[in-house]
Amino acid sequence: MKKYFMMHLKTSLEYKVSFILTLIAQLINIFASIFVIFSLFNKFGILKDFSLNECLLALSIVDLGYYYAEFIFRGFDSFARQIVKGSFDILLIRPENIYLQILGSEMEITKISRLVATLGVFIYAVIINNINFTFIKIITLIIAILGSLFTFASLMVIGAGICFYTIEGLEIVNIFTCGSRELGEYPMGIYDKKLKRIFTFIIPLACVNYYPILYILGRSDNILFAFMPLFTIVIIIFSILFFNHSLKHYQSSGS
Amino acid sequence: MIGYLSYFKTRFNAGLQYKVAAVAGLLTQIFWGLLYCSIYQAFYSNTSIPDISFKEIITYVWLNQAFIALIYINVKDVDILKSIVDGTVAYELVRPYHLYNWWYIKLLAGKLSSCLLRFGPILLLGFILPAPFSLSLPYSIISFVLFLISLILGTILLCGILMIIHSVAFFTVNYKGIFSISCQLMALVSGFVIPVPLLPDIVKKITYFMPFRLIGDLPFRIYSGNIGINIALMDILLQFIWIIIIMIIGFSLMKRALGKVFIQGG
Repeated sequence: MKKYFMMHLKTSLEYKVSFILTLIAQLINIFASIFVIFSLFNKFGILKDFSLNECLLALSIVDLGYYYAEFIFRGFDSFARQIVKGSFDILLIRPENIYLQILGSEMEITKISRLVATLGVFIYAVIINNINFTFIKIITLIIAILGSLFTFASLMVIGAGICFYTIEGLEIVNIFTCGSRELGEYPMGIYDKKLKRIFTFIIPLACVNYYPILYILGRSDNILFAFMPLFTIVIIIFSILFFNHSLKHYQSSGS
Repeated sequence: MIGYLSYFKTRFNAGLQYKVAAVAGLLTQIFWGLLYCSIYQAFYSNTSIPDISFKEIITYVWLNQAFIALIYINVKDVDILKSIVDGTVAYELVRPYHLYNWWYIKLLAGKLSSCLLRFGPILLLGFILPAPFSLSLPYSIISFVLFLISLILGTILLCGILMIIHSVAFFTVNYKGIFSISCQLMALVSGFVIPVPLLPDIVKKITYFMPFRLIGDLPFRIYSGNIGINIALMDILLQFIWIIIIMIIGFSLMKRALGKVFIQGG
């Protein structure tokens, strides 16, 4: 894994100006989403019963998960290209774990700026909310972030699995990852019941950015909410089973 | 002139061929439309603001999605950029037409064909959706006419702005970063990411000194009656002025760039 990382780092650094410009471009992306939330709260003051700071906590849990998943699981995210080019066959004949190889096949070093920025937002959100930390709350926060990361990773793996059947990348899959992030930048509780149910039981983002937050912020004493992020295990297991199942159906497109 | 016209037709018809992409795009746009409606619904549920009403915002969201091809800034024309970088622009220069007009027509035709393929179904869906998320009819007949005029002018303006950004590739090989940074910043103040009335007041004031809000924000707000007839007419005049300014900048920028082009053969 480390070798893959160094390899990608060195290639990016070959073009320095371009590297720096891309870094800035990536940061603006994050800046834009924060800017939108600040603007909306500047106008509206409050979102249902959530304040700006509380929303930032929900946003940072989802964004941390999304951007870290996008960075680490990039190979799955752009898997369609490998299938189309036929370069996936090369991975299959190597005596290495297939998951590890897909992970290492692509990595965008410039995205590190996003990782640092979202981490900054997260730390800010945790400090500004004056959380009364207990041992359970720390555990809740950690599993919420991990749950968010693996939810997005699972969506990407499922998307890659679909590529085995369709041979081309489907934009629909992208909608699910990007759209879920966009919606998840606000606590899922603000949406109407149907949407909330979808995001609790199918794409379990409410389990990482809504229920645990209620517990962490001291709004609810329900201990069940603290461990809701564990529910994301369902989608993780499903995505792995789906990918393995699809892999058996793989027919090379040739090249 | 006939040459330009037939080139427009060719590019327009070429654009119409991407039907599968259009269907995929259609679904994406509908999804994002519903998504933004849900977010705004939550914000408006217990507060209302004087700047723009919930109904107007929903209309804004659907128009934004329906005409996305005409107003979206962050779209690279890969052919143009590639031809500059790898030097095939030399072939284009051999033609007895001015390169600015040639590329401008290409951008415009691409935008129009891509819009034509997807705006109908989105508007239709917007109209038949149930109450809170439905697209309203235009505020009045006059505002509908002014909406059409300003949307056309907005598209003309956008292509002019895109010409300037694309010309950057003549001057530096790092155009990708510059392109993406400038486009994202422009999108932020153009009303594409967040409607201009919802921007903080200071930022809103700044946007009034820039042409970007005239691309999509203006027509959509005229449609819903958020901008009255009198102000709309003033803003349309402003569109004309900005189009002239932007085109002069783009034209002279390209003239300078072409003065420096050196063809190495090969």
